[in-house]
Amino acid sequence: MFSILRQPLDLGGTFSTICSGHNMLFNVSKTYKNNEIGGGLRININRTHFDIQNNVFYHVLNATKPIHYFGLDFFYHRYIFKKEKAFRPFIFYDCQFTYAPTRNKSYLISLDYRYGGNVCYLLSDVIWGPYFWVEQNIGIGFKVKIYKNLYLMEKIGLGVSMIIGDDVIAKQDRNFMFKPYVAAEYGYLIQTGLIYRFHGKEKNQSK
Amino acid sequence: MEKKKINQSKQYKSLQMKKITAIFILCLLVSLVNAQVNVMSFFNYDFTGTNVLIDVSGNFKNSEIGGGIRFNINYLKHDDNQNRYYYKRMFGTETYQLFGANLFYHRYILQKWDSFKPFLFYDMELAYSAIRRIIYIQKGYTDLGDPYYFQYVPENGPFFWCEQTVGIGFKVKMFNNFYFVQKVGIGTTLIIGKDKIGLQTADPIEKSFVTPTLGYIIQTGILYSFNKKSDKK
Repeated sequence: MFSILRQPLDLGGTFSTICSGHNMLFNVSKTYKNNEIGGGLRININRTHFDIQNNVFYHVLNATKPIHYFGLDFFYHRYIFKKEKAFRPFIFYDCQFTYAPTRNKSYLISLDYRYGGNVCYLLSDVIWGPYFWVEQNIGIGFKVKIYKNLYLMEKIGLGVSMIIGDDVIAKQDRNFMFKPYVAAEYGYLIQTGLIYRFHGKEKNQSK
Repeated sequence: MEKKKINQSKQYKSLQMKKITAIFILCLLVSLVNAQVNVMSFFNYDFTGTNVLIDVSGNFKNSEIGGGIRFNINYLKHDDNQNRYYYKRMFGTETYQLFGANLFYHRYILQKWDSFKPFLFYDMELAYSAIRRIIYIQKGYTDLGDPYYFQYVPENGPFFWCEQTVGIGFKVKMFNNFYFVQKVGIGTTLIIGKDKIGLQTADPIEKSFVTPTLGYIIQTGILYSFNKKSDKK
Protein backbone atom coordinates (compact mmCIF):
# COMPACT_ATOMS: atom_id res chain seq x y z
CA MET A 1 0.00 0.00 0.00
CA PHE A 2 2.80 2.38 0.96
CA SER A 3 4.71 1.46 -2.17
CA ILE A 4 1.68 2.48 -4.27
CA LEU A 5 1.44 5.82 -2.45
CA ARG A 6 5.13 6.44 -3.07
CA GLN A 7 4.61 6.21 -6.85
CA PRO A 8 4.39 9.45 -8.88
CA LEU A 9 0.99 11.04 -9.26
CA ASP A 10 -0.39 11.56 -12.77
CA LEU A 11 -2.88 14.35 -13.45
CA GLY A 12 -4.67 14.15 -16.79
CA GLY A 13 -7.10 16.14 -18.89
CA THR A 14 -8.66 14.18 -21.76
CA PHE A 15 -11.30 14.66 -24.42
CA SER A 16 -13.53 11.63 -24.73
CA THR A 17 -16.06 10.49 -27.35
CA ILE A 18 -18.33 7.76 -26.06
CA CYS A 19 -21.76 6.22 -26.74
CA SER A 20 -23.62 8.96 -24.88
CA GLY A 21 -21.74 11.84 -26.56
CA HIS A 22 -18.67 13.95 -25.93
CA ASN A 23 -17.15 14.79 -22.57
CA MET A 24 -14.04 16.07 -20.83
CA LEU A 25 -12.30 14.02 -18.14
CA PHE A 26 -10.04 15.28 -15.37
CA ASN A 27 -8.34 12.28 -13.81
CA VAL A 28 -5.79 11.41 -11.17
CA SER A 29 -3.90 8.11 -11.34
CA LYS A 30 -1.12 6.09 -9.76
CA THR A 31 1.15 3.63 -11.53
CA TYR A 32 2.52 0.59 -9.72
CA LYS A 33 4.79 -1.68 -11.75
CA ASN A 34 2.78 -2.33 -14.94
CA ASN A 35 -0.58 -1.35 -13.53
CA GLU A 36 -2.21 2.05 -13.46
CA ILE A 37 -5.39 2.78 -11.54
CA GLY A 38 -7.16 6.09 -11.68
CA GLY A 39 -10.36 8.02 -11.70
CA GLY A 40 -11.81 11.47 -11.73
CA LEU A 41 -14.45 13.88 -12.81
CA ARG A 42 -16.38 13.77 -16.08
CA ILE A 43 -17.95 16.90 -17.58
CA ASN A 44 -20.57 16.28 -20.25
CA ILE A 45 -20.68 18.46 -23.35
CA ASN A 46 -24.11 19.13 -24.85
CA ARG A 47 -24.42 18.75 -28.61
CA THR A 48 -25.81 21.65 -30.57
CA HIS A 49 -27.02 19.53 -33.47
CA PHE A 50 -27.90 15.89 -34.02
CA ASP A 51 -27.49 13.30 -36.73
CA ILE A 52 -30.37 12.20 -38.94
CA GLN A 53 -30.56 8.61 -37.69
CA ASN A 54 -33.24 9.19 -35.03
CA ASN A 55 -31.08 7.39 -32.45
CA VAL A 56 -32.69 6.94 -29.04
CA PHE A 57 -29.55 6.94 -26.86
CA TYR A 58 -26.49 7.17 -29.13
CA HIS A 59 -24.83 10.62 -28.85
CA VAL A 60 -27.98 12.32 -27.54
CA LEU A 61 -27.08 12.91 -23.88
CA ASN A 62 -28.19 16.44 -23.06
CA ALA A 63 -27.78 18.04 -19.66
CA THR A 64 -30.63 20.31 -18.62
CA LYS A 65 -29.57 21.01 -15.02
CA PRO A 66 -26.08 21.72 -13.62
CA ILE A 67 -25.98 18.30 -11.92
CA HIS A 68 -26.46 16.59 -15.28
CA TYR A 69 -23.17 18.00 -16.59
CA PHE A 70 -21.09 15.98 -14.15
CA GLY A 71 -20.13 12.35 -13.87
CA LEU A 72 -17.40 10.03 -12.70
CA ASP A 73 -14.72 8.02 -14.45
CA PHE A 74 -12.65 5.03 -13.28
CA PHE A 75 -10.04 3.19 -15.26
CA TYR A 76 -7.41 0.49 -15.09
CA HIS A 77 -4.45 0.25 -17.49
CA ARG A 78 -2.24 -2.82 -17.85
CA TYR A 79 1.00 -1.96 -19.63
CA ILE A 80 2.23 -4.48 -22.20
CA PHE A 81 5.38 -4.82 -24.39
CA LYS A 82 7.67 -3.58 -21.65
CA LYS A 83 10.73 -3.43 -23.90
CA GLU A 84 9.50 -0.26 -25.57
CA LYS A 85 10.51 2.61 -23.35
CA ALA A 86 9.18 5.72 -25.07
CA PHE A 87 5.97 4.32 -26.54
CA ARG A 88 4.11 2.46 -23.82
CA PRO A 89 1.07 0.52 -25.06
CA PHE A 90 -1.56 -0.80 -22.66
CA ILE A 91 -4.87 -2.61 -22.52
CA PHE A 92 -7.54 -0.90 -20.47
CA TYR A 93 -10.89 -1.11 -18.75
CA ASP A 94 -12.83 2.14 -18.42
CA CYS A 95 -16.07 2.77 -16.57
CA GLN A 96 -17.97 6.06 -16.63
CA PHE A 97 -21.05 7.08 -14.67
CA THR A 98 -23.37 9.99 -15.17
CA TYR A 99 -26.96 11.03 -14.56
CA ALA A 100 -28.48 13.02 -17.42
CA PRO A 101 -31.45 13.15 -19.78
CA THR A 102 -31.48 12.73 -23.55
CA ARG A 103 -32.58 15.19 -26.19
CA ASN A 104 -34.03 13.45 -29.24
CA LYS A 105 -34.35 15.78 -32.19
CA SER A 106 -35.60 13.93 -35.23
CA TYR A 107 -37.68 14.22 -38.36
CA LEU A 108 -40.54 11.71 -38.08
CA ILE A 109 -42.93 10.68 -40.85
CA SER A 110 -46.40 12.07 -40.21
CA LEU A 111 -48.87 9.19 -40.28
CA ASP A 112 -51.98 11.31 -40.68
CA TYR A 113 -50.78 14.21 -42.79
CA ARG A 114 -49.81 14.21 -46.47
CA TYR A 115 -49.44 16.98 -48.97
CA GLY A 116 -50.13 16.32 -52.63
CA GLY A 117 -49.42 12.63 -52.18
CA ASN A 118 -45.96 13.35 -50.71
CA VAL A 119 -44.79 12.03 -47.36
CA CYS A 120 -44.56 14.81 -44.81
CA TYR A 121 -42.11 14.92 -41.91
CA LEU A 122 -42.69 16.58 -38.54
CA LEU A 123 -39.80 17.80 -36.43
CA SER A 124 -39.84 16.19 -33.01
CA ASP A 125 -37.67 17.75 -30.31
CA VAL A 126 -38.22 15.97 -26.98
CA ILE A 127 -36.24 15.67 -23.76
CA TRP A 128 -36.51 12.27 -22.02
CA GLY A 129 -35.17 11.14 -18.70
CA PRO A 130 -32.98 11.79 -16.75
CA TYR A 131 -31.31 8.37 -16.82
CA PHE A 132 -28.43 6.80 -14.99
CA TRP A 133 -25.70 5.91 -17.51
CA VAL A 134 -23.05 3.24 -16.87
CA GLU A 135 -20.62 3.07 -19.78
CA GLN A 136 -18.02 0.31 -19.70
CA ASN A 137 -15.35 -0.14 -22.35
CA ILE A 138 -12.23 -2.22 -22.92
CA GLY A 139 -9.57 -1.63 -25.53
CA ILE A 140 -6.02 -0.60 -26.27
CA GLY A 141 -4.13 2.63 -25.83
CA PHE A 142 -0.71 4.13 -25.43
CA LYS A 143 1.13 6.70 -23.40
CA VAL A 144 4.09 8.55 -24.84
CA LYS A 145 6.44 11.05 -23.28
CA ILE A 146 6.28 14.45 -24.97
CA TYR A 147 8.67 16.54 -22.92
CA LYS A 148 9.96 16.24 -19.36
CA ASN A 149 6.93 15.29 -17.21
CA LEU A 150 4.34 15.83 -19.91
CA TYR A 151 2.79 12.78 -21.64
CA LEU A 152 0.30 12.16 -24.42
CA MET A 153 -2.26 9.42 -23.87
CA GLU A 154 -4.72 7.93 -26.37
CA LYS A 155 -7.21 5.11 -26.03
CA ILE A 156 -9.65 3.36 -28.31
CA GLY A 157 -12.09 0.65 -27.26
CA LEU A 158 -15.44 -1.05 -27.49
CA GLY A 159 -18.06 -1.73 -24.85
CA VAL A 160 -21.58 -1.59 -23.58
CA SER A 161 -23.56 1.29 -22.14
CA MET A 162 -26.32 0.57 -19.65
CA ILE A 163 -29.05 3.21 -19.47
CA ILE A 164 -31.15 2.83 -16.34
CA GLY A 165 -34.27 4.86 -15.61
CA ASP A 166 -38.00 5.37 -15.56
CA ASP A 167 -39.78 6.22 -18.76
CA VAL A 168 -43.30 6.78 -20.03
CA ILE A 169 -44.83 3.76 -21.74
CA ALA A 170 -48.25 3.06 -23.29
CA LYS A 171 -48.46 6.61 -24.52
CA GLN A 172 -50.82 5.72 -27.36
CA ASP A 173 -53.81 4.92 -25.12
CA ARG A 174 -53.41 8.13 -23.09
CA ASN A 175 -52.89 6.04 -19.98
CA PHE A 176 -49.36 7.13 -19.12
CA MET A 177 -47.37 4.83 -16.92
CA PHE A 178 -43.81 5.20 -15.64
CA LYS A 179 -41.88 1.95 -15.58
CA PRO A 180 -38.26 1.29 -14.62
CA TYR A 181 -36.11 -0.30 -17.30
CA VAL A 182 -32.52 -1.02 -18.25
CA ALA A 183 -31.51 -0.49 -21.87
CA ALA A 184 -28.19 -1.76 -23.17
CA GLU A 185 -26.43 -0.18 -26.13
CA TYR A 186 -23.20 -1.15 -27.83
CA GLY A 187 -20.73 1.66 -27.71
CA TYR A 188 -17.17 2.72 -28.24
CA LEU A 189 -14.63 5.01 -26.65
CA ILE A 190 -12.04 7.32 -28.19
CA GLN A 191 -9.92 9.34 -25.76
CA THR A 192 -7.09 11.79 -26.33
CA GLY A 193 -5.42 13.77 -23.60
CA LEU A 194 -2.40 15.18 -21.88
CA ILE A 195 -0.98 13.91 -18.61
CA TYR A 196 1.34 15.70 -16.24
CA ARG A 197 3.43 13.58 -13.89
CA PHE A 198 4.03 15.12 -10.46
CA HIS A 199 7.24 14.50 -8.53
CA GLY A 200 9.22 11.49 -9.59
CA LYS A 201 10.87 10.03 -12.62
CA GLU A 202 9.68 6.66 -13.73
CA LYS A 203 12.61 4.28 -13.87
CA ASN A 204 11.33 2.45 -16.94
CA GLN A 205 11.02 5.57 -19.01
CA SER A 206 13.77 6.75 -21.29
CA LYS A 207 15.03 10.11 -20.33
CA MET B 1 19.49 33.77 -92.98
CA GLU B 2 18.34 35.62 -89.88
CA LYS B 3 15.41 33.22 -89.51
CA LYS B 4 17.86 30.32 -89.60
CA LYS B 5 19.94 31.95 -86.84
CA ILE B 6 16.83 32.56 -84.72
CA ASN B 7 15.79 28.92 -85.19
CA GLN B 8 19.27 27.71 -84.23
CA SER B 9 19.19 29.92 -81.13
CA LYS B 10 15.79 28.52 -80.17
CA GLN B 11 17.02 24.95 -80.67
CA TYR B 12 20.10 25.68 -78.54
CA LYS B 13 17.93 27.15 -75.75
CA SER B 14 15.57 24.17 -75.90
CA LEU B 15 18.56 21.78 -75.67
CA GLN B 16 19.91 23.71 -72.68
CA MET B 17 16.53 23.54 -70.94
CA LYS B 18 16.36 19.78 -71.54
CA LYS B 19 19.85 19.37 -70.04
CA ILE B 20 18.90 21.43 -66.98
CA THR B 21 15.68 19.41 -66.53
CA ALA B 22 17.59 16.12 -66.89
CA ILE B 23 20.19 17.24 -64.30
CA PHE B 24 17.39 18.34 -61.93
CA ILE B 25 15.60 14.96 -62.26
CA LEU B 26 18.91 13.13 -61.77
CA CYS B 27 19.64 15.14 -58.61
CA LEU B 28 16.14 14.40 -57.34
CA LEU B 29 16.56 10.66 -58.00
CA VAL B 30 19.97 10.59 -56.30
CA SER B 31 18.59 12.41 -53.27
CA LEU B 32 15.63 9.99 -53.19
CA VAL B 33 17.98 7.01 -53.25
CA ASN B 34 19.95 8.49 -50.36
CA ALA B 35 16.81 9.58 -48.50
CA GLN B 36 15.06 7.51 -45.91
CA VAL B 37 11.95 6.08 -47.56
CA ASN B 38 8.78 5.57 -45.57
CA VAL B 39 5.46 3.89 -46.36
CA MET B 40 2.42 4.89 -44.37
CA SER B 41 -1.30 4.47 -44.07
CA PHE B 42 -3.54 7.13 -42.56
CA PHE B 43 -7.15 7.37 -41.54
CA ASN B 44 -8.13 10.89 -42.45
CA TYR B 45 -11.04 12.92 -41.11
CA ASP B 46 -11.49 16.21 -42.94
CA PHE B 47 -13.95 18.71 -44.39
CA THR B 48 -15.15 16.41 -47.18
CA GLY B 49 -15.75 13.41 -44.94
CA THR B 50 -13.55 10.45 -44.11
CA ASN B 51 -10.93 8.76 -46.26
CA VAL B 52 -7.92 6.47 -46.13
CA LEU B 53 -4.48 7.52 -47.39
CA ILE B 54 -1.68 5.26 -48.61
CA ASP B 55 1.47 7.40 -48.86
CA VAL B 56 5.17 7.17 -49.60
CA SER B 57 7.62 9.75 -48.27
CA GLY B 58 11.30 10.61 -48.13
CA ASN B 59 13.23 12.32 -45.32
CA PHE B 60 15.81 15.00 -46.07
CA LYS B 61 17.45 16.29 -42.88
CA ASN B 62 14.57 17.91 -40.97
CA SER B 63 12.12 17.79 -43.84
CA GLU B 64 9.84 15.05 -45.09
CA ILE B 65 8.11 15.17 -48.46
CA GLY B 66 5.54 12.64 -49.53
CA GLY B 67 2.38 11.84 -51.34
CA GLY B 68 0.10 9.05 -52.34
CA ILE B 69 -3.37 7.82 -53.07
CA ARG B 70 -6.51 8.74 -51.24
CA PHE B 71 -9.57 6.45 -51.00
CA ASN B 72 -12.80 8.27 -50.19
CA ILE B 73 -15.30 6.50 -47.94
CA ASN B 74 -18.96 6.96 -48.83
CA TYR B 75 -21.36 7.42 -45.94
CA LEU B 76 -25.13 7.19 -46.40
CA LYS B 77 -25.82 8.93 -43.10
CA HIS B 78 -24.87 12.44 -42.03
CA ASP B 79 -23.48 13.42 -38.65
CA ASP B 80 -25.63 16.55 -38.55
CA ASN B 81 -29.10 17.68 -39.55
CA GLN B 82 -28.00 21.12 -40.68
CA ASN B 83 -28.85 20.80 -44.41
CA ARG B 84 -25.20 21.57 -45.22
CA TYR B 85 -24.12 21.71 -48.86
CA TYR B 86 -20.49 20.50 -48.92
CA TYR B 87 -19.39 19.78 -45.36
CA LYS B 88 -19.02 15.97 -44.95
CA ARG B 89 -21.21 15.43 -48.00
CA MET B 90 -18.68 14.00 -50.50
CA PHE B 91 -20.14 10.89 -52.10
CA GLY B 92 -18.54 9.09 -55.03
CA THR B 93 -21.15 7.86 -57.48
CA GLU B 94 -18.62 6.46 -60.02
CA THR B 95 -15.62 4.26 -59.21
CA TYR B 96 -13.05 6.91 -60.17
CA GLN B 97 -14.70 9.33 -57.74
CA LEU B 98 -13.62 7.14 -54.84
CA PHE B 99 -9.95 7.96 -55.53
CA GLY B 100 -7.86 11.05 -55.00
CA ALA B 101 -4.29 12.24 -54.48
CA ASN B 102 -2.44 13.50 -51.43
CA LEU B 103 0.78 15.54 -51.10
CA PHE B 104 2.41 16.72 -47.90
CA TYR B 105 5.45 18.39 -46.40
CA HIS B 106 6.59 17.96 -42.79
CA ARG B 107 9.15 20.21 -41.11
CA TYR B 108 10.47 18.63 -37.92
CA ILE B 109 10.94 20.99 -34.99
CA LEU B 110 12.31 20.73 -31.43
CA GLN B 111 15.08 18.32 -32.41
CA LYS B 112 16.32 17.89 -28.84
CA TRP B 113 13.25 15.91 -27.87
CA ASP B 114 14.05 12.20 -27.80
CA SER B 115 11.32 9.91 -29.01
CA PHE B 116 8.47 12.32 -29.61
CA LYS B 117 9.14 14.09 -32.91
CA PRO B 118 6.83 17.08 -33.40
CA PHE B 119 6.51 18.73 -36.81
CA LEU B 120 4.73 21.50 -38.67
CA PHE B 121 3.01 20.38 -41.85
CA TYR B 122 1.40 21.46 -45.08
CA ASP B 123 -1.05 19.00 -46.61
CA MET B 124 -2.83 19.13 -49.95
CA GLU B 125 -5.53 16.70 -51.01
CA LEU B 126 -7.12 16.49 -54.42
CA ALA B 127 -10.28 14.64 -55.38
CA TYR B 128 -12.96 14.70 -58.05
CA SER B 129 -16.24 13.59 -56.63
CA ALA B 130 -19.94 14.29 -56.35
CA ILE B 131 -21.92 15.16 -53.22
CA ARG B 132 -25.02 13.56 -51.75
CA ARG B 133 -27.21 15.36 -49.24
CA ILE B 134 -30.25 14.42 -47.20
CA ILE B 135 -32.12 17.62 -46.53
CA TYR B 136 -35.42 18.55 -44.92
CA ILE B 137 -37.13 21.66 -46.23
CA GLN B 138 -40.13 23.22 -44.58
CA LYS B 139 -43.10 23.41 -46.94
CA GLY B 140 -45.93 24.73 -44.79
CA TYR B 141 -47.99 24.13 -41.69
CA THR B 142 -50.39 21.35 -40.71
CA ASP B 143 -53.95 22.06 -39.59
CA LEU B 144 -52.68 22.01 -36.00
CA GLY B 145 -50.14 24.71 -36.79
CA ASP B 146 -47.03 22.47 -36.74
CA PRO B 147 -44.51 22.99 -39.53
CA TYR B 148 -44.15 20.07 -41.92
CA TYR B 149 -41.13 19.17 -44.04
CA PHE B 150 -40.33 17.34 -47.28
CA GLN B 151 -37.24 15.16 -47.51
CA TYR B 152 -34.94 15.54 -50.53
CA VAL B 153 -31.85 13.52 -51.43
CA PRO B 154 -30.12 15.50 -54.22
CA GLU B 155 -26.83 14.41 -55.79
CA ASN B 156 -24.83 17.30 -57.27
CA GLY B 157 -21.55 17.53 -59.12
CA PRO B 158 -19.02 15.98 -59.58
CA PHE B 159 -16.74 18.76 -58.36
CA PHE B 160 -12.98 19.13 -58.17
CA TRP B 161 -11.92 19.38 -54.51
CA CYS B 162 -8.63 20.95 -53.45
CA GLU B 163 -8.06 20.84 -49.70
CA GLN B 164 -5.06 22.65 -48.25
CA THR B 165 -4.28 22.58 -44.55
CA VAL B 166 -1.46 23.56 -42.23
CA GLY B 167 -1.00 22.43 -38.68
CA ILE B 168 1.03 20.45 -36.18
CA GLY B 169 1.66 16.76 -35.75
CA PHE B 170 3.99 14.23 -34.23
CA LYS B 171 5.77 11.00 -35.03
CA VAL B 172 6.69 8.53 -32.32
CA LYS B 173 8.46 5.19 -32.56
CA MET B 174 6.28 2.21 -31.62
CA PHE B 175 8.63 -0.72 -32.16
CA ASN B 176 11.31 -1.73 -34.68
CA ASN B 177 10.73 0.47 -37.74
CA PHE B 178 7.05 1.18 -37.04
CA TYR B 179 5.97 4.68 -36.07
CA PHE B 180 2.71 6.23 -34.97
CA VAL B 181 1.87 9.53 -36.70
CA GLN B 182 -0.87 12.00 -35.91
CA LYS B 183 -1.68 15.41 -37.38
CA VAL B 184 -4.23 18.11 -36.74
CA GLY B 185 -4.64 21.27 -38.75
CA ILE B 186 -6.87 23.90 -40.27
CA GLY B 187 -7.11 25.25 -43.79
CA THR B 188 -9.26 25.99 -46.77
CA THR B 189 -11.08 23.82 -49.26
CA LEU B 190 -11.67 24.94 -52.82
CA ILE B 191 -14.61 23.33 -54.60
CA ILE B 192 -14.42 23.91 -58.33
CA GLY B 193 -17.08 22.80 -60.76
CA LYS B 194 -20.22 23.45 -62.69
CA ASP B 195 -23.59 23.43 -61.07
CA LYS B 196 -27.16 24.18 -62.02
CA ILE B 197 -28.41 27.56 -60.94
CA GLY B 198 -31.92 28.91 -61.13
CA LEU B 199 -33.42 25.54 -60.21
CA GLN B 200 -36.70 27.21 -59.42
CA THR B 201 -37.10 28.32 -63.01
CA ALA B 202 -38.23 25.97 -65.76
CA ASP B 203 -34.88 26.17 -67.58
CA PRO B 204 -31.95 25.94 -65.12
CA ILE B 205 -28.50 26.83 -66.50
CA GLU B 206 -25.10 25.34 -65.68
CA LYS B 207 -22.42 27.78 -64.56
CA SER B 208 -18.78 27.34 -63.48
CA PHE B 209 -17.91 28.33 -59.95
CA VAL B 210 -15.20 28.19 -57.30
CA THR B 211 -16.33 27.99 -53.68
CA PRO B 212 -13.75 28.45 -50.92
CA THR B 213 -14.67 27.15 -47.48
CA LEU B 214 -12.81 26.76 -44.22
CA GLY B 215 -11.81 23.25 -43.28
CA TYR B 216 -9.76 21.11 -40.97
CA ILE B 217 -7.90 17.82 -40.90
CA ILE B 218 -7.37 15.11 -38.30
CA GLN B 219 -5.04 12.29 -39.40
CA THR B 220 -3.96 9.18 -37.57
CA GLY B 221 -1.77 6.51 -39.06
CA ILE B 222 1.04 4.00 -38.94
CA LEU B 223 4.35 4.55 -40.72
CA TYR B 224 6.96 1.97 -41.69
CA SER B 225 10.47 3.25 -42.27
CA PHE B 226 12.79 1.33 -44.63
CA ASN B 227 15.88 2.81 -43.06
CA LYS B 228 17.77 0.38 -40.82
CA LYS B 229 19.06 3.18 -38.61
CA SER B 230 15.57 4.40 -37.85
CA ASP B 231 16.56 5.60 -34.40
CA LYS B 232 18.22 8.56 -36.02
CA LYS B 233 14.91 9.35 -37.73
